[in-house]
Amino acid sequence: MIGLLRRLAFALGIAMGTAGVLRFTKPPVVPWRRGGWRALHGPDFR
Amino acid sequence: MQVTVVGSGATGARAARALRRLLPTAQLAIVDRHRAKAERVAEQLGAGVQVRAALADGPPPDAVVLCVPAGLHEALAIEALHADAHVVSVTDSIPDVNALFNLAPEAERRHRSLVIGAGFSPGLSCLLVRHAADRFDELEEVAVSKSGTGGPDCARQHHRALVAQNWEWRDGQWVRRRGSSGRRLAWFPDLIGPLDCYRAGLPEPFLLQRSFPTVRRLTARMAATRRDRLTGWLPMLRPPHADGGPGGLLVEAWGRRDGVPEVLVYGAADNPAAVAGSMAAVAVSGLGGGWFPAAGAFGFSACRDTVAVLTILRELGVEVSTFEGAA
Repeated sequence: MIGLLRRLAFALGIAMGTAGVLRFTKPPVVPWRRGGWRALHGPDFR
Repeated sequence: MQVTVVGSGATGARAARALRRLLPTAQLAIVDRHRAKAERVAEQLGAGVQVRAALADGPPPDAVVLCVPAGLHEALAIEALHADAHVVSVTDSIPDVNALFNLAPEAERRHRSLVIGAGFSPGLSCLLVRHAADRFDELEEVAVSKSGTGGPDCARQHHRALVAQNWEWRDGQWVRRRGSSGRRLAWFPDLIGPLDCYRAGLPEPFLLQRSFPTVRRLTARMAATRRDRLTGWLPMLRPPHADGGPGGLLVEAWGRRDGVPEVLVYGAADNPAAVAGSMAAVAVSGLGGGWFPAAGAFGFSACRDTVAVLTILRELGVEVSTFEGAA
């Protein structure tokens, strides 16, 4: 029983560690950008 | 005109609805192996819509719209062509697209059109590339990115595509790349915003290369999270949503006008199934109207009048945007 619990704790630790690494190694979205979106309009959709 | 829509899922139902609106006098039939589902869609559309179990049932159609899962398009397109019908397929799978292009000689022999990839991506994406190309003297490079899915079958194909081989057209030859690689930040229109996109098994380069054989580079990517990439090689861990929208589309085109390099960025943020249905309906309504080649197999990048198509799409509620600025 204790062996099973140790294995479960080990697996949980591995999973949480992996999730943490994936979460924190993701590079941030670059927030800079100038301009914006506008709907295509006019008779020629420009 | 007799039009048969095969498939009554998220895209098929919307294609039927858009067809009802664009071609109110057309006789509409819905084919689905799940008859109850097709009957529900027919009921919503009102009187006069027939429900059939197979394409061969009933009178031969003038046009067939294929809104079925990936892998079924080729056999149904052959059946429809043998019945002398025009075919519009919303497929987004590379094997399907290549198999349908192989039917081009048959379509030409019968003087019928086979519209391939008449959906959101491919479909609206190819139309926007053509719209951009018409503004350039020379188109040099195209990058297409997409996010979101239509119905469950589209979501399954999306899941498969993420780990499938990616094909890029680069300097006159095909280059095979690994799916899920090549992260690139794509700024979709405001409803979706910025998302990381990766290479995937997407058919846009194959469709676009036929229309723009001299272009230097054609790439396609789709949005994915780390979980998507991590679990892409597994079966889907939970059933897909009934509707995978909203989705985004981003088309970046580089070219030259009067010798000066320019870039045009077009995008859309909408429900992919609704847009796909509208694109399929527009393709049917444009058959024989001069918007497309008179016969053969082609995608929306072969459209000869993008303004006319965009006008009808706007009437159907599909808005297209352009990005102005620097990113």
